[in-house]
Parts: sequence; structure tokens; C-alpha cells
Amino acid sequence: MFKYFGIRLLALIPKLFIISIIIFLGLQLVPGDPISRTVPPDKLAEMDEEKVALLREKLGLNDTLFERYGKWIGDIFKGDFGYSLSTHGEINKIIANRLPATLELAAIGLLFATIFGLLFGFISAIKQRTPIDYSLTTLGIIGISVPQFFFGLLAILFFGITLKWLPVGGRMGVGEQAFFDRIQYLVLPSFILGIVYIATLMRYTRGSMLDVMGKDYIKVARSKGLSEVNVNIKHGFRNALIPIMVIIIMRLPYLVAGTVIIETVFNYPGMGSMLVFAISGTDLPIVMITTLLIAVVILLASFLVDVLSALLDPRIRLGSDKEGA
Amino acid sequence: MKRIVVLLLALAMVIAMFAACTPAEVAEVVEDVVEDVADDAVSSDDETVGTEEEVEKEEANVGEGEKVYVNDTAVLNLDWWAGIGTDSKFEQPWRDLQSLYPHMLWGTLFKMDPYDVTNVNSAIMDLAESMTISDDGLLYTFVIRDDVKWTDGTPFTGADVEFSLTVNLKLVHSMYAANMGSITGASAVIAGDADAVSGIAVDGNTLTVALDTPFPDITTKIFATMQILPKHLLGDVDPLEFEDYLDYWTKPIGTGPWMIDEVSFPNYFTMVQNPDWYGEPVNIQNVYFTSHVTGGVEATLADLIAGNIDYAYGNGVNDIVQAENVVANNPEIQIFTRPSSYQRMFVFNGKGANDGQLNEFMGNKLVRQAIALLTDKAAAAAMYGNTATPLKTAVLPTSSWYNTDIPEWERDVEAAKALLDEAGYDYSKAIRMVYYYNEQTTKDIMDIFVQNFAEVGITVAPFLATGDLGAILYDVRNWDIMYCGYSTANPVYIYDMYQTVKGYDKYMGDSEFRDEDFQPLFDTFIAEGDPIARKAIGDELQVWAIENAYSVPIYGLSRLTLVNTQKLEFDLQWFTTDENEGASWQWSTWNLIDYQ
Repeated sequence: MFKYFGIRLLALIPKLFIISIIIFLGLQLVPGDPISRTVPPDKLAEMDEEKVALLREKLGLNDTLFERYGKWIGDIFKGDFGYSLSTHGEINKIIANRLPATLELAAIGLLFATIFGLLFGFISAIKQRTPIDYSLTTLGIIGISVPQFFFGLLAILFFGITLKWLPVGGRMGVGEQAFFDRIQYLVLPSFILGIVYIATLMRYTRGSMLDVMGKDYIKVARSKGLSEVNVNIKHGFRNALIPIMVIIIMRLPYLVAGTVIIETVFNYPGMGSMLVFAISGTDLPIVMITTLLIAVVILLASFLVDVLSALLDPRIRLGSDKEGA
Repeated sequence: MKRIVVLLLALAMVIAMFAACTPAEVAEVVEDVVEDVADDAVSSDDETVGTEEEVEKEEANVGEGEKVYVNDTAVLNLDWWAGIGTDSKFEQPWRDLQSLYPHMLWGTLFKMDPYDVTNVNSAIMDLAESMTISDDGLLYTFVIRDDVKWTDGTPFTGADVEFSLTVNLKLVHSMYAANMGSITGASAVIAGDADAVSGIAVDGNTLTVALDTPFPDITTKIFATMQILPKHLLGDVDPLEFEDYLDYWTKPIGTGPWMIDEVSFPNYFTMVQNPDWYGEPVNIQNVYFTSHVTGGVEATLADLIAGNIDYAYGNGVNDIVQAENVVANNPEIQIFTRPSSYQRMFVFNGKGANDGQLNEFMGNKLVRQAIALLTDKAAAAAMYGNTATPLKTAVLPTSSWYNTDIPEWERDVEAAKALLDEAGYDYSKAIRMVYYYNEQTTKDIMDIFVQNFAEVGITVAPFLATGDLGAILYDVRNWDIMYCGYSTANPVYIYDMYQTVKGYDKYMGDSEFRDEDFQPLFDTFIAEGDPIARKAIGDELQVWAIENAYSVPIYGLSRLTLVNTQKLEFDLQWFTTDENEGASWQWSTWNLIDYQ
């Protein structure tokens, strides 16, 4: 089993290397000159050519593609992510400020969504074709079809402006650096983020549960006289979890990528908004590092899926061992 | 019944869809119909937030009770806006910075009196104790205050001023360097031939700045506006690394009435009073700046409505319709619309593409005059609601510099056609119009221009310049007309761009199309110290500009400020003029108030 995990883990290295080349080359092909995003057009129109040339040299835009890739990947290994082209800030520090914000938001949102998505999906399945099922299904469809920003704006209007129970946005107030002080800022965005995840997960859980509940071994379990709770949870829910687990784990990249809509609506400075600003500003160093980070998490998530699938379903690892032999 | 409700709702949706794609006046009528339909479908007993009754009720409550000053207990909450974001450092103040904190953190040699903003004789001294201007206008002598300290305890000296003036000439991003060319020795520093500016000297507490040619506007363009930074912390930094010198820019120090206390990138920073502040005492103790870079204008307005910030301005708020909506529903908030000298215009490529062939038609002033008459400036300005003003000259009609003898702008297609015919214009030739603002409003405005020119049979082919803008606009020059933006503080100064040493030279160059009368006229304007004589030359320049149409001003954009006047009180004179360059912010008049 460890050999299986080891091979899967080692396979990540060449994948990451290839991805890094694709990211680097792909973003070099993006139309637009970073200089024109570094300096506002009106100012650029007034700048003399010598200053533009100096700036170009300083930003390393005159180096060859190979030199730039080598320097970029080398610096990453040294822990130096470089500087933002548009803000001139250190990317290490920018990410250090924003990544924890996104992790908090996405983790709470995912946790909230996972708990309630699984619960509602489970209830909806075992109460199939009852008013509870219809209500949850309707809520699920609303959750999926209504855009996040709409829920967000409503929440700000109601809880932030009218009732004044919660902040309308931001990540922290002055002097509120401690996590418990910041929880008030996380409530609305993580709840709204969770709503869509809940709806999706609930739909999947319901479908998976119904699929499993129709299997022969459930009928066998029932015919053996097992209690309904035992059948539903031990035999039904556990087996239904395997495909759902993949969906949950494949949401992990949001922990790094952030969610631009929620972040923008709630003025929450996370990775998602940073990435969008960087893309619109052709701030290639930030786009490249963030994309690479997201790729790393996606690869790790897929590795985690492999591990969990193998642990939950021995046929997978046994099959792999046989292939290896 | 259920079917009727569903049908009514469906009808309302269809009407709403049409309303979204319909001009505003029609949309208002459609909105009324939608409201009627919705009223029929839904019970009117439902209470909704922001009904007229509630607003009226709220209006009645505003300002009730006795006004008390709460400067010691309350906090002034402001928006932290910065073009470079708020992720890892503060923006250097010599960029085009619109945030308030530079004015609170750093000082200048003096400030202009907001009640007499163009008169240097009534200037309010700041870091300088006095200023003397020689009779020929070529030597400025400042006595520097000897009681000023940086907030790290280091004494402030004339060397800081000398450093700040000099380093500006070496930076990539500086909005001041362009107006320092008249200082003796400045051009040598810009060219990299000298390290120090020979015309700037410090002797004890006395600083002198010598000019090669008279330039009265150096007072407002440099001395009253350029923040002085500390030489002892930044003097050894490579100018190309200046903005990246994080030892300073993560928590900059200054000499102003407040100093930075706590910083949390990218969330907020706080300011407290500077105990060594040398000027008129300020009342407000604490100032908090909250970043809205991530959420943008909506987040700024939400915080304003929720009472979390007291003042929103600059790039954070630029939509008049949105701002008016905020004010309508929140009577404690007031809106101030202030015309600015930022404007959009056409400039013409007389040089032609880089094939050596002159662009005959764009070089012909009759064609340019025709384009000025042909362009529907009012329609383009209307795309920005009430915040844009169509322009006849580059000087705003509200400005005291405006030549009132010039008649109001009117579109005249017939006259334009006649001018084009007189110029022998080749109507089969499409005009290549370049623009570089990649947003929908600009694209809509391009559609307006296409329609305008089509009325006389000219095809316009607009295209968005992307990539190396410098190369496209100046070197390749594969365009006839450029739709661009320009901003100056002294309104007449916009003609500065026509000087042979400035940007316009890149398009018109030393081609046969340039008018020889301009440069002597502009030089006289720059050198003239007498305000009345200067105004007369400014008037003449505006007439010259219309006649020659080197550029065609289209519209000027206003700046908006929203203030919670139930929490914040200050002398509002600052808002009454668009010529407020270098005007004092009068921090001592700012008070936090409450009604109890």
C-alpha cells in the first residue's frame, strides 16, 4: 500500500514541473505589455522613452524566455516569489497576508457546507418524496441557481446595514487581529459561500444515497432485520460517501484560490480577488505564482482522493498492485 | 388565481428586460408600469426597507438633539485607497495619489489659502517660515522652520527639501518632475549628467531655488503640493528602487499633524496625533483608514451607509447616479461635486505612421476644426451622467481662467461638412481611432463617434491599443486620432502638451503643420507673473487652441466626495473650487460631532 502511495506522490513532481512550464510559457503569450499596466496609460503617454527602457530593464522584461523561466523557478525554490509588477510589493508578503484570509473563509465555508450538505442530502434521501424532501430540493435548487453575489448583497443589507448585527465587509477591524475578534467578519461571507456548496453537496448526497439505497446489499441488510438507522447510516450513508468524498476533496483548491465573488462583495482581501486583479493588470509574477499554488493544491487534492479511495475501497490499491506486479 | 399571478410576474419580467435595454427616460416609464404590475400581484401590506415614509422619518431624525464635539472619544474613519493596492506597503506620495493620508502625514513648504487659492501672497506657510520671490521671478528663497522634527525625532532641515526636489527628477513615477524643468540644472539631472541640481542650495536654514526662466506656477505646482520626504531615511536609496524600499514604505514617517500608528496590510492602518506637530493644533485624535481595494466602490458606499466611514472620495466614488441614490436614502450623507481638470480629448497624428509619410489630413487644421464640430461631445459626456461636462476649450467653463468671450459649444454637422469639403477631404479614407481605456463606457463612446462621423460619410475604425503602448502610440503610430485623457491643475496649463519638448511633439513633431505662434505665446504665459496680464494671455491661448485644434477637448470629468455630515464637520471651502491645487486642508477646522 505504501508503495502505491509513494508512486502516486513521486508522480506529482514531473507533473508539477510540466505544469510550471505550461504556466510560464502560457502567460508569456498573454497579449499586452506589463509596462503599460505598471504605468497608467496617461502617465505612460507623458513618460520619455529612456525612462520606459530603464523600467523595462529593471523588470527583467528584456531577458530571454529561458533566462526568465530559470530565474523564476530558481527563485521559487529559494522561497523568493519576486515582486508584483503593478504594486511593486513582495509577493511573499502579499500572499502571506492573503492566504490565511482565504484559508479561514474557505475552510469555514467548506466545513459548514459539508456538515449541512451531507445532513440535508441524507435527510432528503431517506425522506424521499415527502414534503421535507420537496422543501430541501427546492431550497437546493434556489441555492444553486441564485448567484452568490445576490445572497451576499441581501445579507449585507439585512444583517449589516439594517440590523447592524454584523460588519458589512472587511476581514478585521482596528485592533481585532485575534481569530475570535474576526469571527464576526467571517460569519456572512462564509455562510454565503457555504450556501452554494451546501446546495450542490446536498443534491449529490441525495443522489448518491438513493443510488446506494437501491442496491441489493441494502435489501439484504433490511431482510436480516437490521434497524433502519443501522441500514441508513452504516450501510447506506457510508457507501454513498465514496463519490461524495471526491467532490468534497476536489473543493480543497478553493482554500488557496479563494472565491472572487464573495471576496469582492464582502470586501474580503483574499487570494481570489488578488488573482483577478493580477490577471486584469497583467501582473504576471502574481498570476504565475498563484496559478502554480493552485496547481499544487489540485495535485495534492487528487493525491488525497487516490489515498482515500484506496483506503475506502481495497479493490483500487489491489488492482494497482497487480498491475505493478 | 395562481395562473394570473404567474402571468403577471412573467409580464413584469419581460417589461423589466426591455427596461434594461432602453434609454433612461423610457426606462422610468417602464419602471412605473413594472411597479404597477408588481403591486397588483403582491399584497401592498408588506413592509419594505427604505420606503418613503421611513426615509421621511429618518430625515426628521437627522441632526436632532444638541451638537457635541467628540474629538477625544470618536475616531475619524476614512477610506484607504491606493492605486498600487494596500497589500504590502504605502504608495509614495509623488505618484498621482488621491488618498487623504499623504496630506495628513507629510508637509509641504507652504499651502495655498483655500479662500484665495491663486494668490501666492496669501499662502499659508508650512515647513517654510517664509518665502521671498525675486523681482525677476528667477529666485525663490525659503527660510526653513527650525522647530520641525520627523516623527522619529530627527530634526527636519533644508537638506530634506533639497533631497525631495532632486530625487523627483530621477524617479520613474513622479507627477512633479515635468514641472521642474525651469529649475537651473534640473535638465542635467534628468539627463543623468549630474547628480545634484545646481540651482538648489541650502545654507543653514535658508533654501534657495534658482530658475533659468520665470515660472510663477512653480509655487502651486511644486512648492505647495510636493510632500517633503526624509533624506536621512531615503537619501541613499537608488531612485529606481525608491518605491520598493520597504524599510520606509511599510510604515512611513512624516512631519504632518498625524503619524501612522498601527498597520495591518491589506486591511487598515491607524493614525494618531503627532506630539511634535508644529502647526495649528488639530482636534481629531485618532484616524482610521480602512481599505476598500478588494470590494471597490460598492464596499466603500456600504461602509459609508453603515456609518463605518465618514468620508468617501476620489477613485472610490465616481458614479453620480450611485452617489445620488446613496444620498437620497441616507440624509446624513451629503454629496459634493467638484469639477476637475481631468478631461478626455482627441489628439491628432500629423506625423503619420512610421513610414515617413506625413498624415496630410490630420495635419490640416480645417479637418481638425471639422472634427471638433462633428463630435457629439454632449452625448459622450452623458455616458458619465452629471459628472461630465462637454468642453468647448480645454478650460472648464466653471474655471476663473475660462475665456467667457468664447461662445458655448454647439455641434454643427453642416459647418463640419463645409470645412471638410474646403480641405478637400478624401471621404473614402477611414479614420483609425485609437483608445486605451478597456471599459464598456469607452466602447459605447466609440460607437457614438462612429455614428457622428458617419453623418458626413466618414468611416471611423476604433481600436483598443494593447501591448506596448509607448511603441504603438509614439513609434508605430498606426492611428489618425487618439482618444486620450489629460489632467492639469492650472487649467490653461493643459496647453503645455503642445510644447515642442513635450508629448505632443511625438505626434505632430516638427512637421510642417505646427503653428509657430504657439510657443512664444505659451512662453509668455508661463513667465507672466501679473495675474491680470496672465489671464489675458490665457484667453488668447484658448482662442488659439480652438483655431488650431491641435487637440479637441471632449468632456471634463468631475470628482465626487460623500461626507457624513452628521459625524464630521469641517470648513467646506475646499470643495467650492476646482482650482484647489496646493490648497490647505485646514485640518484644525475638522471636528467629529455627535447629536445627543
